[in-house]
Formats: sequence, structure tokens, C-alpha cells
Amino acid sequence: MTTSRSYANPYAAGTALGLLLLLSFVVAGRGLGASGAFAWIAARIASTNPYFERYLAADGWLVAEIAGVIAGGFLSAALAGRLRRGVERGPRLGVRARLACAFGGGAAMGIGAALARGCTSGLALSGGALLSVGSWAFMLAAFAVGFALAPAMRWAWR
Amino acid sequence: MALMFALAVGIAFGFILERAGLGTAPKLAGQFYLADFTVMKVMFTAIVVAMTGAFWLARLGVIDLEGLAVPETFLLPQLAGGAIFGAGFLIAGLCPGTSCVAAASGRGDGLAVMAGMFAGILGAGLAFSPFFTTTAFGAWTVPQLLHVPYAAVAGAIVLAFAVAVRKPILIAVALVTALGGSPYRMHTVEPRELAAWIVEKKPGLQIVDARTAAEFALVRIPRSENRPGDGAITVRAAGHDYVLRGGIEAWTNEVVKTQHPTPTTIYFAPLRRHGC
Repeated sequence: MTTSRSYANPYAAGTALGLLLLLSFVVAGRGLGASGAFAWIAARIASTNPYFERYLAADGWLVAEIAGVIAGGFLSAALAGRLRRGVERGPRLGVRARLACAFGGGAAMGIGAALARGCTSGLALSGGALLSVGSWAFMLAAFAVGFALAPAMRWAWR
Repeated sequence: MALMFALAVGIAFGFILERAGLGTAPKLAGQFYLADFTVMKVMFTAIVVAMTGAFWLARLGVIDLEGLAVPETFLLPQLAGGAIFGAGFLIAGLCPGTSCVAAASGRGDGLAVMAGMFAGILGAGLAFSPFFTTTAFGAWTVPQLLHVPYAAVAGAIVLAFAVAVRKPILIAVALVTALGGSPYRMHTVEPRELAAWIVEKKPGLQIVDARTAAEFALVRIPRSENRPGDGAITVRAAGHDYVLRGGIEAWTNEVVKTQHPTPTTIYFAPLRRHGC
């Protein structure tokens, strides 16, 4: 492995992220998001219904933003020497099993995000900062279930 | 132009997530085994910074808090969705935003999470049922839920953060914020609208008349209380503050003396007879 920079202090990263979110609020009146971009694309290939309608009507903001996230993540990883092909997994999990878990877990998050109309970025983070009841309910439910099921998923991670 | 800004915000977002190490699944999953609290540290710090910043910018009149997009609350779908999401987060080890960062830095598992996310959203979207829209509360905030001032909730969250990270200086920020007053701009309410609120007994309706006691004794709005001060008539309803447009004159002209019988004026007709 080549030398790679160590990770940033989480409080410094959190402060930077908070200021970025604030800038987005001030300039655009809206926060960050991630799952919305997936819904935006899905809405363009699925037959429309009340769920997809709002994403069909939405502008390209979400997709432009998530394209930026991919570019920014690539840029940071490249500058820090962390650009590496591979599959990251727990010590006892094979590559195939890990990819299956990643896809399955991703699908569950997709279902959850569709029901909740948002994910960790748009609903929990951005809505949490604006004290939305739904955002805090989502956040508490997600972390509670994550912690409650963690012992059952130990084989995958520890 | 807006899309360029969205792209720039996204680049910074992705950059920060990667810098913090949030593009690597075992690190994220570590939170559920109490081994790595990076996710919570980053997230809670960001929420506190953005929340406090938005509060003070609104309080100082730089931004209009009501102009910001507060995610709508659909309580049951969001609790259920949160639970399913939490299970998925544990299994995948990445969340939607961080999976994009993982994929961008070359991780195949990040790409698999993105593919799963897309399949899940597409499937759930196609399976749309009325449950998705149950328990809809609109843009509902925690201060409205608890019936306490916005500043108090913001201050309490900063205080919890100060205790969690053991930073005494932040206790001062929490206190100043808690006593910071309302971040909402004063909105005006039309006399007729206020009359309708009085008739329908709008929840939490409070009318404060800051004219002199003598003026108040002469003409008064039903259910209002007199607190002599700057002469304005302010209304508090459903957690928002309003100023009665045109004051008592507009009220007298548009509600009490109006010649057009409406449900409102019919209701207030007996008051007119008593010289109010």
C-alpha cells in the first residue's frame, strides 16, 4: 500500500460540512441530498405515480449535486492517495458475499428512503438542522434499528 | 447557474465526506459496534453548526427561516422508512451519499450499494401505496411539536452537543442561543383573517394589544389582552408571530364597520351594537 494521508479530524470535517450546508441554505434555500438523485432518475424511467410525480417535477439540482459528490470524492481520494480499486469488507466476509450484502443493504436503504422521502443527507442532516419532526424521527429510528440489529450482523463486520 | 452551484456544493460535500474517511464501509459500520464514532461526530457537528448558523442568520434578518425547505413530515412512513433504512445501513456499511464517495474512490462495494439503492427506490416507488402519505403533518418542526420557542430547542441541542464533546465554551453558545428570541420574521395578518381566527378559535391564539389602557377601554378586539407598550397589536398563532396590519383602525373599518355581511361580520354584529 502506498502512503496515504490520515483522515481529517471528524469535528473539523463536521464543522466544514455544517458551514457548507448553511451556505446552501443561504444561497439556494435548500440543503444537501443524495437519495433524491436516484429517485429523480428512477422517475424518468418508471411510469408515473404520486411518488415519482414530485421527482419528475423536480429540477436537476439533485443530480447535479450528486455528480459533484462523485467528482469531489474522487478528487479528495486522489489527492490523499486513497484511490484504490477493491472491495472493502469485514475480516470474515468474502468478496461475493460482501457485494451481495452491499446490494441488499442498498436496496433496503432505497426502500426506506422512498418511504421516508429522503436519506441521511437530505432528510436527517439537512432537515435535522431545520428541526423537522420527520427528520429527527427518521434519524432516531434508523440509528435505533442499526444498533439493535448490529449483533446479528457481527459476522459481516467484526 | 443554479446547477453550477449545486455541482460546486456536491463537490465540496463529496470532498468533505472522503476527507473524514466516510467513503470506507468498515469505518462506517464500526459505529454500530461502538468502535468508530466518526459518522456521528461529523453528522452531529454539522447539524449543530448549520442549525445554529441558520438560527442566527434568521434572527439577525439575513435570511428568512420560512424560506428554507423544511422536509415535510409523514410520521409513520418516516419511522418505518427509518427502521428499514437503518437495517440497510448496517448491512451495506454505507449510506446513499457515502456510497457515491466509496464508488468514486474505486470501491466495488460502493458501486454495489448505489445499484441496490437505485433498485430499492425504483421498486418501492412502483409499489407506491396510500401508506406513503399517511400521517402527513407538512413542514412541522420540533418547537411546534413541543410548543416551546425555537430558540429553546436549538439551545438544548447545542447544550447536548457541548456535554457530549465536553466543550464548556459551547455551553455559552447554547445559553445565548436559547435566549436568542424568535428567528421568524414578523408577518402581518389581515384584520379579516384575524377575525376568522377568533371565530374558529385557532389553537394557541394570543392577541396582545400594546396601546394605552384608555384606548383599549374604548375599542378592543375580542379575546385580546392589554399590555401597554409600543401601540402595536401583535398576534401569536400556531407558533408564529404576526402584526395586525393597519392596527385598530383597519380592524374597525374592515371588520367592525363593514357593510358587507359575511359570516365574520354577522358574528361580530352583536359586538357592534355594544359600541365595540
